[in-house]
Amino acid sequence: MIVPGDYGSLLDALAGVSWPARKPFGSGVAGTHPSRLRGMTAEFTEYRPYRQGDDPRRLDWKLLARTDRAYLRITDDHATRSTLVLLDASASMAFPAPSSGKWRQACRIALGLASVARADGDPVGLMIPRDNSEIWLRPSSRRGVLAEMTHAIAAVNPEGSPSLARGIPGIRKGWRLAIISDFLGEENELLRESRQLIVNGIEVFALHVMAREEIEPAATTRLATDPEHPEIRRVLHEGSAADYVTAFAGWRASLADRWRRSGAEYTEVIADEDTASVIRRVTHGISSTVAG
Amino acid sequence: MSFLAPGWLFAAGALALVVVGLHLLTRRRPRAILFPTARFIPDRPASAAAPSLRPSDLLLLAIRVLAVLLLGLALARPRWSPAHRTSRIVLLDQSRLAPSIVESALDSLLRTADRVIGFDSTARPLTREDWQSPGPVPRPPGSLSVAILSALRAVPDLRTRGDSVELMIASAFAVEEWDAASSGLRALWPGRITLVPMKPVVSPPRPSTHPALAPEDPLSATLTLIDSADFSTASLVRGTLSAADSAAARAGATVVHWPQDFAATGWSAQTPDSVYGVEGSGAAVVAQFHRSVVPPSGRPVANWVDGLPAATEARVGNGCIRSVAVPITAQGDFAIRPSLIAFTRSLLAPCGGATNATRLSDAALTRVRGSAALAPSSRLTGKNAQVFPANRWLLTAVLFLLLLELVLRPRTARS
Repeated sequence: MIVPGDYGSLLDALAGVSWPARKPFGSGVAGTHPSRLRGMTAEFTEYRPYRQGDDPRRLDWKLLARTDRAYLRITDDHATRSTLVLLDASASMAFPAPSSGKWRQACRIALGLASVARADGDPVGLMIPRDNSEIWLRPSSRRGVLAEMTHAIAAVNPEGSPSLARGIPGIRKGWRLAIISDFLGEENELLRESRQLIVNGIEVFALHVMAREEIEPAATTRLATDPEHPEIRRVLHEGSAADYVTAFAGWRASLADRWRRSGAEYTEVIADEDTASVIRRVTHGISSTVAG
Repeated sequence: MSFLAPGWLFAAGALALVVVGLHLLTRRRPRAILFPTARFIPDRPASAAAPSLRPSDLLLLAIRVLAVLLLGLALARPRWSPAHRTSRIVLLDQSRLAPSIVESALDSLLRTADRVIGFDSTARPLTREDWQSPGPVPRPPGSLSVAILSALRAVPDLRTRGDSVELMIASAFAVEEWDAASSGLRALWPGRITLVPMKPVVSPPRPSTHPALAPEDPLSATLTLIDSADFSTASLVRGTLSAADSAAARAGATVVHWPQDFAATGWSAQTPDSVYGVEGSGAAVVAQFHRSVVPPSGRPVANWVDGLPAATEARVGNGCIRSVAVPITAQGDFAIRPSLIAFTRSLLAPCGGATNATRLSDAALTRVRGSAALAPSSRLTGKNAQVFPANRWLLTAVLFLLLLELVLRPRTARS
């Protein structure tokens, strides 16, 4: 259970942070992000000679009157970008017990990114797939949307093995998607769906949350059981730890490479890492991976 | 404190060592944790746990060892009574061959006994007054089989008085007291028997004469061929019984009432018929007999071939009266046939059968005495029949420890 009061200091630390869109995109709603559309706003950019077929309403009639030349007044348009946070609440996110560090970090990142996007004037929404249902807050610019997200997250305990890819089809063109997960379940399917979104112009941010114990496990002998796949039971001891570290690092490198090649922003996050730093890294477009 | 089965103590000690060894050498299963990235751990058998020689879970080990030792102690059946206590059973011969008065040496021996059992053809427990007073009259013949059997049945009552039982038999050890079952019953007693021989009491033979019968009586010819010694304790009455005959019977004589004319006896008549044989005490006569009466009730001593009694015996005082319903004809040589002579002699035998006071042979007495040690109470009473109160408490403690071990085991396994 996450206490909503935990987020106060985080939101204070994120004051003034913005999350600009990586590329201009088309949108009909005025916002802070550059749009591919050239509109009728007051932000003048250049004149262009009138060509047949241009909308006569965009002619600069005053210039035509003064110079008898037909020019169009070109301005830059700005638009809003709906941001959807896709939060993984599978059982593997409850690691390590009993602090559930991965889940806590994921929740703080979700709220932090939402607050940054909301500060930019963007609608923000939340989706938490569950085994038999899902928590779905449609992107909204309402004042209380962050409070709704906070309470929705606080009511969730990570369990089961829900499919993140199930929430992908509901995302509309022009949105921004932040996936916060440990990518330990159906990562290939999720990557395939995300690749389709990226092709459609949706910005995808993959935030890979992991615990430090997963990266550098203790050398004591333990019988490790996968919480989402109990049939996977392996003995972790001093002799197998090195092989594990190598295999896990290789998988992470492969995962990062596949996400980045598909056009997504991939960032690795440690559970005990400072959340505000993570969010600044994400919003400033600094993709990072953890050594090891 | 002594143990009836000390071998269990050694077995429990060995088992406790095995438990300790297994505890120290057991391959401990590693602590189980949930690990989301378990799939990246090399897949090796999960049972390959690390062996541990460190004595962990000492409480669990102590409980297990204590349970094993207490179980061994319970199975060893500890006894708190003094060891090597011997209880004594004395079998006192009170048959017709035994003296009626107990000698002083034997009396002192009987005083030290835990149980005194008198026997003749039956057995009964005796008190001091019983063995000092004269025995019952008349005295039946003795039976060592009955005596040994009564001793076997008396042992369970004495099991708490000692761990072994000494059996003493004070008897005349006459041949007549040893029957076919005696050897088998002696074998059931798992120890030696102390024999206290007694001098047999045999009535001196009285002067004997042939009874005087009428010359026309066919049985007179038979009696002439019978030794007069057979009449030392018997008399033959061919007419009706008189008061003198009854007195003689009370005095110990065998009165054979063999009427010549059955009609005058008053015996129960039966439908006259013929029967072709009679048998008594091993002597048989095959001839045609015209049966007309039934002898008075009593112990049958001779029977017709159809099983009906031909002669009966009734105890009177120290003697008896035998009533014989066998008609004797004067025709032919029937009266002097050897079979009839033998049959007649069997009827003249003393009351209760012939007395054979001959002492058992030394070899037979040696077999009776045996050479083994005293009989242990546990073998006489049966191992399963003994329940010691300490066993219940020990087994209860074992059960409690096992339950405690069940409770503690999951906790230590998780830690």
